[in-house]
Formats: sequence, C-alpha cells, structure tokens
Amino acid sequence: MAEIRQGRGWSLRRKLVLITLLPLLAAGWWGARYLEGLERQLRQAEERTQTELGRVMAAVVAHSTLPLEIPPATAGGHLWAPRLATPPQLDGYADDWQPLQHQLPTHTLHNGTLRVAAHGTDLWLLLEVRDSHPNWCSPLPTASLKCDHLRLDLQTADGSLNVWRLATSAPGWIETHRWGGSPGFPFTIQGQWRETRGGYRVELRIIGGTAARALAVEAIDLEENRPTETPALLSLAIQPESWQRLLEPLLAPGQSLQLTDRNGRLLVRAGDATVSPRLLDESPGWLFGLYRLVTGMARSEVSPPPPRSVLKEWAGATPPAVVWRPIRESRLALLTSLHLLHNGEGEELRLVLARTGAQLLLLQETAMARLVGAGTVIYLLTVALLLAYATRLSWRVRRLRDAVSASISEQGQPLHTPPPLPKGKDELGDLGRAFDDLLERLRHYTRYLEVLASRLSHELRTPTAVVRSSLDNLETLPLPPEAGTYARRAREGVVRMERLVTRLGEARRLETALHSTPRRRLALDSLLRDLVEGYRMSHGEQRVVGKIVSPLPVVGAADLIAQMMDKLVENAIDFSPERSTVRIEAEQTDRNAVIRVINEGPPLPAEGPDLFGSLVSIRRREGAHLGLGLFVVRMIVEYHGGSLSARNLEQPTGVAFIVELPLPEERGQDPSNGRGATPHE
Amino acid sequence: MSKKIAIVEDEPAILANYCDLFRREGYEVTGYADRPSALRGFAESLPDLAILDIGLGEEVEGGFELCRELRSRSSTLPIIFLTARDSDWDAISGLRLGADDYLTKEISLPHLSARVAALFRRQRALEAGAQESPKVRTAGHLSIDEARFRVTWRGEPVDLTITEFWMVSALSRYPGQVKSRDQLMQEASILVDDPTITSYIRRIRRKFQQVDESFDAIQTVYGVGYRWNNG
Repeated sequence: MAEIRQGRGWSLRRKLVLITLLPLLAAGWWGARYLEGLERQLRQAEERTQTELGRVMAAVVAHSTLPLEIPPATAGGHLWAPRLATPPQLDGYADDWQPLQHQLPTHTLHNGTLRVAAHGTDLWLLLEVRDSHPNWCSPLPTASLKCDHLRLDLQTADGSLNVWRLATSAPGWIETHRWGGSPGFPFTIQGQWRETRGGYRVELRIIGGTAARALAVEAIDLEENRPTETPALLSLAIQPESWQRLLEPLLAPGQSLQLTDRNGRLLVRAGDATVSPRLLDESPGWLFGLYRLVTGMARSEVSPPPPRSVLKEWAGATPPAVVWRPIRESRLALLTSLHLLHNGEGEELRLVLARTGAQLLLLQETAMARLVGAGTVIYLLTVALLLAYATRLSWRVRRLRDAVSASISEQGQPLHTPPPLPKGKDELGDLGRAFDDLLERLRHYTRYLEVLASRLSHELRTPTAVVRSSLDNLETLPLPPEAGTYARRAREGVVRMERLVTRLGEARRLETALHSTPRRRLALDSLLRDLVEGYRMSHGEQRVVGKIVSPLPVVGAADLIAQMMDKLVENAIDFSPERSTVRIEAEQTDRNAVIRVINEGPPLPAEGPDLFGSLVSIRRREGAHLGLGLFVVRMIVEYHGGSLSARNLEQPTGVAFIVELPLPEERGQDPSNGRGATPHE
Repeated sequence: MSKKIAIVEDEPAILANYCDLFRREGYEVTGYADRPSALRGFAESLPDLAILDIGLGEEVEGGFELCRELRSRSSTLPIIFLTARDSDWDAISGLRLGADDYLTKEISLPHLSARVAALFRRQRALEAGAQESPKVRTAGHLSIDEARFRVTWRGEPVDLTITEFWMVSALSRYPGQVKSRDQLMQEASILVDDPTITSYIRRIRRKFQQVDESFDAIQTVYGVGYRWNNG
C-alpha cells in the first residue's frame, strides 16, 4: 500500500467542529445577551409601574385627613406594634404568637428579645430572657427584690413616666410592684412567667397600654450584677386601625406598604408582601440557576441581601428610589420603592412600597427559564449533531484516502484488484467514483506500459527474422573474405537483438505462465539448496555460496521460484566484481520465509526510480541490461503474495535483494489454486 | 521427384528467404502471401509439406484456418507453424489443430530445414511401413522409434511434436544424466530462452500424464536442467 503523505495542519473534523461551533457559541452568547436585555426591560417596566403606584399611594396618604401620631424622639430606638385580630391567651406560652411571627418586629435586649402587639386598648408584650440560673424571689414581697425580675417603664403622651418591677417566687402569675412614677396611673398589668430551656418567658398584658408612647423593658439578672441605671426608652408606634382600613383595600395581594416618619420609624404597615412557600417550591431550581448563569442576573441586577432594615438603609436616601432585593436563594426578587410625602401638618413622611410581584415575576422567570432550558438543550443537541456529522464526514474522507492509498502499490502502480472505494450519493461518493475512474485509467496506462515491451518484442520479431533468414541465405553463397567478416558481425548483432526481443517478451510469457501454474506446498529450503548447487556448477564453486535454514515450507510454484532465483542470481553475478562471492541466504521469520541474494557490487542510489519496474536498470554495466529481470522477479513474488525489496549493505559493501514469501498457515486451508496440499514436489 | 513444400507467409522478404533456402536444398517450393491464394494453390494440388504463418495480412488467424483445411484433406500431411507469436496459448491451439510442430520466427534456417528433413524422413518411414527395420530404443516404460518419431509409454502412444520428440529422445538417451537447457536446445535444434524450455518440458510432461497420470520420469534439477529417471 502506498502511504499518502499526511498534512501537518488541523484535521478536517477539527476545522469543521471549530467552524460550526464558533457561530453556535456566538448565537448562544447573543441569546444570553438578548435574554438579559429582555429581563432588564421587563424589570424596568415593573419599576415604572411600581414608582407610579407609589406616587399614587403617597398622594392618598398625603391627602388623607386621618390623624397620624408621630411618637416622641427617644434614646433607645423604636418599637412598632401591630394590631392583632384576636388577643393571645395570657398563659406564658408563645404558641399563639407564632403565626404572627413574620409581621411582628422583634426588639433585641441585651439578654433576650421583646415583641409587642396591640389589641383593642391593650398592649401585649412577649419577653424571652436568657438566664441559666433563674433566681426566684422569696415568697414574701420585699422591697429589696434580691432576685431576678423585670423592670418596665411606660411613658404616656403627656410625658409622665411609670416604672414597674415584676417579680415572682414561682412560675405563674406575676406580682407587680410600682416603682415610682406619677400617681393615678391608667394601666393595669397582668402577666405570666414561664421557665424555658435556658431562661424564662414572660407574657404581659398591659390593659390600656395603647396610651403609652414610649416604653423600656429590662430583665434584671441577679448574677449579672449590672449597675442599675435607667433603661433607654423605646418610642412606641401602634398600628392605627383607621389607616389600615384606608390602605388595605388599595393594595393588591403581594404588595405591602409601610409608612415611616422622617427618621424611618415605622408608623403604619398595610398589606403583605411575603411569598407563599408553595410558589417557591413549584419552580424548578436548576432552571433558575441556569437562567441566572446565562443572564448573569445574580451578580449585576440584584442587590446583595438586604440589611436588617430597608427603612434604616433608606433613612437618608433621596426618593423616589427603587431597588430589587432577592428573596430566598436569590431566585425571586422583591421590588421595593421609597417615596416622600408631607402630611397635612407638614410633617415629612416616608412611604415604602414593596411588591414581590411573586406571581408575575415567577411566571416571567419560569417562561424565561424554560426558554433558556429549551435553548440550551437544542443548542447542545445541535452541537452534538454537528460533531457527529463532522466526525462522520471526516471519517469518510479518511476512509476514502486510505482506500485510495491502498489502491496503489508501493511501487506506485495501481493494484489490479484494489479494495473497493467507499461510495455514496453525495460529492464524496462522486469523488470516490472519480478516483475509481482515475485509478482505472492509471491501471490501463500501467498495463499499456507493461505490455509495451512484449508488443515491441512481437513487432520486432518479424524484422529480425528477415535479417536472420537473409544472413542464413547469405552464408550459403561464396563470399569474399571481407564480406564474410561483415556477415559474421551482422549475425552477432542479430543474435543479440534476438535475445533482447526474447527478453522483452518474457514478462508477457511469464504472466501467461502465472495463470496456468498451480501453487502447492513445497520445501523451499531443499529447492534453494538444489538451485545453489546448480549455480555453483554453472558459475563456479567460489562464486556462489548458500546458507539455507530448514525447514522452509511455502506454498508456491517451484518452476517460478526457480525462475525468480535465476533472475536474482543472474542480476547479482552481473553487478558484482569478478571473483567476488554471491551469497544466498534463507531463513524463517514469524510469518515469512526470507530469501536474501547478496552481491558485493556498487550500491544502489538512495533515491531513484522503482528498481522493480519494467525496463528499469539503475546500475550501469557493459552489456545489455534491459532491466526486465527484476520486473520478472517482482511479478513472481507478487504472484506468491510476498514482498520484494533491495537494501545497500555496509560491511562489506554490497546490495541485498530480499524476497519475503508468506509461510503457509499451519494446518490451515491451503491457499493454492484449489488443489489439495501435496507433499513436496 | 523432388518434394513439394508450400510456404504461406505474408512478409515478402521472409517468404523469399525461406523459398530460396528450400529450393537450394532441392525442394520444389511454392510461396503464398495470403490465405485465398494458398487455398487456390492447394485446390490444384496438395504439397508434401506446409509451412504456415498464423497471422496472414488482415486475417489474424488465417494460418489456423489453412491448417484446418489441409488437415481435412490429408491426415498425414506434415504441417509446421512458423510464426512471430510466442504465447503458449497459440502454440497449444496450433498443435491441437493437428500441426506437427510450432516454431517461432527466431529459428535459424538450418534448424528449420532440419525439422523439414525430419518430417520427410518420418513420412518416408511411415510409408515404408514394416518393411524397414524399426530403430526402436527403450528406456524403462518408454520406447522410442527414432525413424518414425513415435514414442510410447507403457505401450500407449504419446503424441509429440518434432521438437518435443527430440527433447524426450535427448533426455532418455542417458537416463539419470542431467541435461542442461542449452544441451536440450541443441538436441532439439532450437534456440530459445530458459522459460520457453521450461514450458516445453511442462507440455511434454502433460502429454505423458494424459497417458499415465503417475508419470514423473522427467525430473527438474533446479539450477541445472532436467534428467530422465527410469524409476
């Protein structure tokens, strides 16, 4: 098989994949950018709607005649108490507070938490205190209160302050101790004290407590031994029912509104902007992950998780401002906007409108996520298909290349029975057919060249016959001596010419012989030994030596192998210096019987024409050398399925002609012309 | 009365040379350049021996046609094919048509005339029949009648051409002795290349094998030549 030189560049497959992948990647990138743009536009539309809605709400609030009380400025922060639909049971348990948890602001004390709610005119407090060793008070009420207790300060609208100490000797109802303040106090306090894991809980009901405008709660732990000082008062804003009634109907589900004073203290809250967990669970997370990945939303568009309070962050902001905040796993966004307004008394208020837009956004994102998902799947599918197609195309081209290279022998001649070229109905198939045509023509041409010699031989035979018969006749006549000399020279010439003519026809005669000579199993070693003996007899003992290894079974035609050896030895003798030795060696390799005919003649040129072609003679030597001998050798070797090569030798210099004939398969089918294996001929 | 030889050959120079040769040797020679003229000549009178070329002008196989025609008129008339075609296939076809020998054109005139003389000798011997004492020689199962050019193997006749007969004769004369190809050529009055000798030998073996499948008296001595083995 002739090796076709392979290019060093990229393979067709790689190029095809690259060419197809680049636009696909570009399309993918463009798709991602498109989605990103679409998303941004949708969000902008949402923001505009939000801003408008906020403005309307602000107008409603500004023009409302409902009273809105601004709590007094205090040192300790702000507490906002929502209105409860039903009052909790005063039992010291937190269960009935639990459902309200998400809308109940929790105030943190230094050793616990405080929650406040209102119902009617009562104020409810739930206090959770961390205390590993509660110290109960002694059963008798004492003024010293050497035990863990609570201090509760309440300030009314007129600024009067009342202080209580609440203590108990056992879980249950609490004793209250007035600890100063103005007399005629309007409040009554009830309470339940419960031990909890790692502390205690106190549930308080302050009857008429909605009249308070500020409060302070401190859990005093005997072991902490903190210096007793007046706790900082927290301003208290209780959800005004009138405002809630006004605003609730204006808000759509999923919207919430908060009204704060200039300092961000919550005064009114309406609506609910929490997202139902069901909705969150319905959306497939991986799709959103992919969506976020593609659009890059997670990084650029959505702010980091909110600080503890939106209100605080916006305390100094210039409204209207809109911001997106991620809710839970950054999948859904909460749209929040801030608006400024002034109420009838010229007091500056801030309005924070929040909207999950859960349904809308969720649907939107689901649709987009689906789009991205489907797009990605199609994209991957296309890439896979293109890859497969490119691979197949490349494979077909490579197969064609291999088939073409397999159709031409190492000597550059088209094989007579080449492997079939791959066919198809497309251009590659056409290329295969074109190659077929080309090879066929090459085959014809090679054939023409090969038979040229025998044609020449045939055509030359008649004129040589004319010369020879004329000379034969001439010699029967009485000739002057000079004429006899010329006639003799002419005869020598014609004899040589006849020999050439015969040789020219040899290849053709051999081809005929090949078709009619059966191959059978024979002992190559004994055949070679006989031949070597013969050569020693005809060329002299010194001239030819043999080194034959036994056994060497081959399947072949003895006559042809003998003819082949004749040619090789003749060639070796012709090209080696006189009195040098021609060596004939034979041995067995894994799969072949190897015959080497070695002469000590001049080396072959490194690069040159095919030595074993018809009419090729490389080394110049006096005498006729048509270069047909090795061609005959090649024909015989090919007929036997073997291979032929020539190699220059270094020590001693010379040339080796190497014939490799395949060994018969052991015990296998005899590949001869249908005849059974017969013992050595 | 001299013998009549007909030569059919489309190359005038060769035809003239052959005619001259045989006339000098005392034969009566008629030369024809193509098949129709040869047919006309044969219709008048049959020659005693015919030398035919195969390709005659336009007729690629005109010689074969003529051979068939002559054989139908006479089963004993010696016919020699003398042609430029050297393929085994042509030789086999020619001999199958009943030719007595198949020669290629590089044969020398002396070799050619030796064959012609041999064929006439054979004819004379056949005509003389039993009157002439037969020169029969035996070697193993082979018996050779040198006068009538007849060979039998185990009593069965083997049909050989003159060239083949001479080769068998030469080989079997000294059984066990190796005859080189050159020697064989000399004995058989031909001058050809080695592969042609090989194919001659192959053809001879095949003819003996048609009579006796186990025939293996002709042995190849690779690198040297052949020898007859009486077994």
